[in-house]
Amino acid sequence: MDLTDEALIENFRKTRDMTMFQSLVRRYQGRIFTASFRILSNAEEAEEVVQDTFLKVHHNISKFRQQASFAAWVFKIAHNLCMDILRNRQRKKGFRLLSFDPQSSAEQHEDPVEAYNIISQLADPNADPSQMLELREQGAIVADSLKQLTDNQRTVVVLHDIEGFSYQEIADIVGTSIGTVRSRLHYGRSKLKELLEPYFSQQNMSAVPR
Amino acid sequence: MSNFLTCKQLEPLLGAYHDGELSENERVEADKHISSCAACQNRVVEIVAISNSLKALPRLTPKMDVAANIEKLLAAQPKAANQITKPLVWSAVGVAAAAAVVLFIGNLKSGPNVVPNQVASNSTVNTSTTKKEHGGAPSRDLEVASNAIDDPHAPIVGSEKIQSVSEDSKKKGSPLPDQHGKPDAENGGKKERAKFNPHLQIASRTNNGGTDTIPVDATLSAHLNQQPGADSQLIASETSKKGIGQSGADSNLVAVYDTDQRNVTEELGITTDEDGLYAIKL
Repeated sequence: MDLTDEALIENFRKTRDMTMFQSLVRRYQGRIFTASFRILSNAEEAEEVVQDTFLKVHHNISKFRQQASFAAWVFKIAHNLCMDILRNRQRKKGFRLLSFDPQSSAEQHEDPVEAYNIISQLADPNADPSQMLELREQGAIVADSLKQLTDNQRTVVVLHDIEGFSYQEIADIVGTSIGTVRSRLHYGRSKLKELLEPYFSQQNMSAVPR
Repeated sequence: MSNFLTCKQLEPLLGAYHDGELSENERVEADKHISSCAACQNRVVEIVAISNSLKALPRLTPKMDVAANIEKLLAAQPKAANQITKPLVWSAVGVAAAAAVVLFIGNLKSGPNVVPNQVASNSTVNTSTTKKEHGGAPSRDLEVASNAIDDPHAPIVGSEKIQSVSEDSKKKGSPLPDQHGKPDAENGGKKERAKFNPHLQIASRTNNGGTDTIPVDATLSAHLNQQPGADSQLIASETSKKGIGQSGADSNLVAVYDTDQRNVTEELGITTDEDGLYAIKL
């Protein structure tokens, strides 16, 4: 029987048995990576976030209080790291604007996101090829649309619709109110609807899994 | 259509309705409206579709299995920290050194102009020299340039002498290096700055108590070669748009010493304004 997160933490605190800690990491590294990647749209930075998150978790494990779930706590750490990266990007962007170099903008490409959207990672590997192709196409469109949201909207959408956190948990993770979470989610979804509408009307909603 | 909520009012709540995040009252009101409004029912369907399409995005895995490598990462952490700390220390030293150079250059540029004889100083002249000169008998060795306040032979109210020197220099038509006039506000701090230099203190007192002030654009200059008969070897200048009375303790004064009348100056003092004393002895 699998131990709960809290039980693993408690055992790790008592015994310093690294296998306990590794179990925790194993549970969350994929989720943290997925969420970070969706927020940052950069695989290398998402990898860094995963590593730094668990280093911080290890360093601060004694500070974890069980009033909040471990999931929310670990995502809060990851979220803070993502925000640091986004802020640094903004600073660099501002600097780049100040020192405008026409060539640099041409070199500024999207990260190799597609390399991570590999078909083997799709939900159902046993699906028939045509269905997989459809899912892959849909996934790429949705992922691209997600990138067009603001950082705040995208973060809340990812935490809710991909990671399944409640409004209260999201408010704790991002450090805002439930009302703000609700608002960001509403505007984020409205924007997504606007972006995906042509695709949905073409597919007559049939491609959307229910 | 509900009598309580309009479509416009409900629209921002539909996401929370779908997510089960409305309060009980809100949910009841929303239910009433949605059950009788096809448009809002469609909106809920759209939200469901969007939410499901996001949920259907593939789960990704990082290239590095962090769980398997966590011990290595933890072991590498302090090492990495050391690697960061050292460059930080050196970069801090570098920044401090750069700041000192900038400060020095800034003083050279913004302070009084350097007198051609390589001798110039800011307001707070080298105190060791000035103390020596004032402690003993009147000496030919020391001259404080700018406003002649340190000339032991000069009366306490030095402005007359300054004026005459200024006129003298104007007659000779020698181009004088300009001093930067200080705003009035800065003159309020002259007493504080004067503590670095007893001569400036004298000047300040003199000018405060005296009635004579140099008129606007007063210019003071004395050159060793141009005044061979003078006791002092004054190589200095000041241009003040406020008059000496206001700039007596100004930080942009120039002081030059030529102890042996050999046309070779001995001391060069440079100071900052309020931040402290920086003296350079050549």
